[in-house]
Order: sequence, then structure tokens, then C-alpha cells
Amino acid sequence: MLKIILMMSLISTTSARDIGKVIFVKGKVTNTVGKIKRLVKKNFIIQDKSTFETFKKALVVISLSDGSKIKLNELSKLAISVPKDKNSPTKTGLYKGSSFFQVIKNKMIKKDKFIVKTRQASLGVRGTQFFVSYGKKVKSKDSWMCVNKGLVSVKPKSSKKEVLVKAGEGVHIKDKNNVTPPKSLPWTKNLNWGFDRRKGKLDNTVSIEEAYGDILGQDYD
Amino acid sequence: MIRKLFLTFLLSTSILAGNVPAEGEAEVNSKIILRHFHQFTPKITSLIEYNWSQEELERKEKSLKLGFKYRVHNNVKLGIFYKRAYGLRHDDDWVWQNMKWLWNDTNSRGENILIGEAGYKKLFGNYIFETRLTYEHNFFNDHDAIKVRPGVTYLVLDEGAAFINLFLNYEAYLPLNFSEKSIYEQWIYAGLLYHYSDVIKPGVFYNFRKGYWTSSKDFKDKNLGKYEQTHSSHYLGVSLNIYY
Repeated sequence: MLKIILMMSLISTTSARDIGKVIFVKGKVTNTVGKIKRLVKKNFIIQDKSTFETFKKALVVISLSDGSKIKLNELSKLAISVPKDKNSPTKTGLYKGSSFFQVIKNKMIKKDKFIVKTRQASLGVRGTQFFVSYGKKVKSKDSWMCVNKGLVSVKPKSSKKEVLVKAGEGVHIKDKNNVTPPKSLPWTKNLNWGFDRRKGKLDNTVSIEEAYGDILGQDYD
Repeated sequence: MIRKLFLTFLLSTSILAGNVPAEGEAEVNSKIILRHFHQFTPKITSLIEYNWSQEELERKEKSLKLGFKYRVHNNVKLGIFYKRAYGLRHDDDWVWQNMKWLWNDTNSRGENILIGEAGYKKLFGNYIFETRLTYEHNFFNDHDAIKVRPGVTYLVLDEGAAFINLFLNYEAYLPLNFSEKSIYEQWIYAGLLYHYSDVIKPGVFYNFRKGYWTSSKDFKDKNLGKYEQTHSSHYLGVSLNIYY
């Protein structure tokens, strides 16, 4: 009987594949795999097909087995899946909030190595550092994306049009059909791109409100 | 006999001369506004504004305003300005001169005005609601006034950026130490600003001005009683904002 229990626990741990670990956490962060939700601490081992959720003033930095890093800001929710096949792309889904992504280029993969999906679009990445955020409303229909390094392709879900965004540029994904042409977005210049706590603070203090806030700053008379 | 006729004639002409300003119908005048904005820091912006308007008959109002705005909060800006103005008309410019009542010619009279303002803006979707309070002190006649200006601007957006502004404002001038009216002038400003580029934004506008002339100093000194006359004007104008 004891042998059966041990065998079952061994099977359950090996079927939940480890895909990375948490390298920094601040505040309340949870990780959900299936129906099991756990509080996250540093060195937490991440299993495939898990979802992270950060609460107010919380932050988590994740290091994945494919070399990528993700910094999930407060009040955000992100699902992660890393395939066994190293030539297939890592997939993430951002459900709310905002996140920074750092993806190491894989010379073996000609297509996108990392995919981020939002409600409006799919972002394909080969080797880069970029930021994605939903708009200012809780259930916003729009989102923003800007690139710090590398190249990101943006494809709205209901459109065949693909937009390539270079370093220093960003786009406003208005809905499932529309994305603005890439251009420099002044409000993204102060984003905190850090992923290593030893090199400085990791908190991002730029609010998505500032993407819209230029309007109030402008004088007309 | 001749003397009686002469006296009667004099009496009738003085009555007919009009010892109070005429009300008249609202005129349509032209107006030009040029503005230059320079942002020194995210919080400090300078403004240079030149105004020119054609008023009744030969009178022209022109002014140059210089100053700064400071953003104390995301929604709040404070401003301080100096304005040099010509062609302004005040109650006391209704004078007895050369045996008749007339308006002073003020086209070449310069006046120095100190302005302080506070503005609050709130964004709701594509609408900006703003309330602005302005204090003015005119060093020429030591007149103090408060201006209250609520208004709304609708932003027509293109790719997330403002493309056209449609604005509508109302402004009331409240005299603090002059005039016999609690509101001595009211304005309506309506217009459109086109965001041609980040640097150049031209516009067109319509203004309506309604004011009150109350008893001038000369009139009071002659013990002729009091008067209150309304005056109104329409303005059609063009503006140009430069951001550099």
C-alpha cells in the first residue's frame, strides 16, 4: 500500500514539469497550477502551465528554463507554458496588468521564440526586451507595447496585418482589429527595465495613466 | 426773440447729443491670437501670447502677455503673467471733452496688467472639463478683477493622439473695486484647434462679448445721475499656437 502511494506521488511530481523559478518576489504573489493555488516566495519552482497573479504593491521576477525572464508588475496576471521541445516557442498569456519580458535569442529557432498573448493581440518575439500593459480601465479594450531591445511582431487577433516594432518604439493596440503605427512613446522613457535586484530597484513607477496623461499636460491657451 | 430761439436750440442739442454711451447693435469684429509655448521642464511651461482685435469704429485692442505656468498636480496648473495692453476701454473713458460726451481714444495708451491664474482640468474619455480662476490687477487704474471660466474641450483622437480640439468656454468678469455691476463682462469662446503637428496648431474661433458701461467719473462729477448701458460684440478670429 505504501509503495502505491509513493508511486502515485512520484508520478504526480514528474507529470508537473518544472520550467523555471522565482528569483525575486515582493508583496503578495500567488501561483496556480490546475486548482492548486500557492503563495510564492523566492526560489519557488515554477511548473508548466501555471498562472501568476500579483496583488497591490507586489512584484515578481521569474527566470524560465529557456533563458527568458519575466517581471510581472502589481495587479497583474500571467499564464506561462514552456514546451518540452526547445525549438517550439514559450507561450504566455497576460490577462490583466502589465509585465516586462526579456527573451534570449535562440539561434536554432528561425520563427518566434516567445509568444505573448493579450485579449487584443499576439506578440511574437525572437530575442528582445519589451513591455506590455493593458490600458487604464480595469477591463480595458486597449493595450500598449513598447520595445527596449530587439524586434517584436504584433498581430491583432482579428486582423491579418502584422506590425514590426523596433527598439525605442511602441504601439497602442486599440482593439482586436487596430494597432497604431510604431513610434516613439515619450511616457515609456522612464520605465524600469531592470530584472536583477543586485543592480538596482525593480519597481516600475510609470503609470499607464501617463500614456493618456499627455493630454492634460498640454496647454492650448 | 432771437435769444429765446437760441437758448431753445442749445437745450435741444444738448439733450440730443447723448450724455450716456450708446447701446447700439452687436458688431462683428475680427481677432487674431498668436501663442508660443516652451516647455522648460515637465512642470514648467512659458507662454507668450499676442492678441489683436478690431473693436467699434477705429478702436483696436492689442496686447502682449508673457509668463509661466507651473503644474503643481496632474490636474492643476498655476500661472503668473505680465500683460501690456493698448486700446482698452474702461467706464472712466467716457469723458466730457470739447463740449460733448465721447470715448477717449485709447489706441496708443499702454496699460500694465499683472495676472495670476489657477486652472483645474479633468479628463473624462475624450472630454476635458476645465475651470480656471484668474486674478487681474491693472496698474493703470488700479482695477482688480476676478475672472471665472468653466469650459469643456472635446478631443478628436487619431491613433491615440489629439487631432482636433473642439472647445466651448464661458467667462465672467467680476469687478472687485470698480463698476456698479457684479458681473461687468461676459464672454463665450467657441472654436476649433487643429493639431497640424507637434509644433504647429492653427485654429479658428468665435467669441461673443457682452458688457456693461456704468457711470464714468466725469458723469458722476457733473451730478447727472447714473447710467447702465449694455454693449456686445461678436468676434471671428484665427489663432496659431507654436510649441517650440
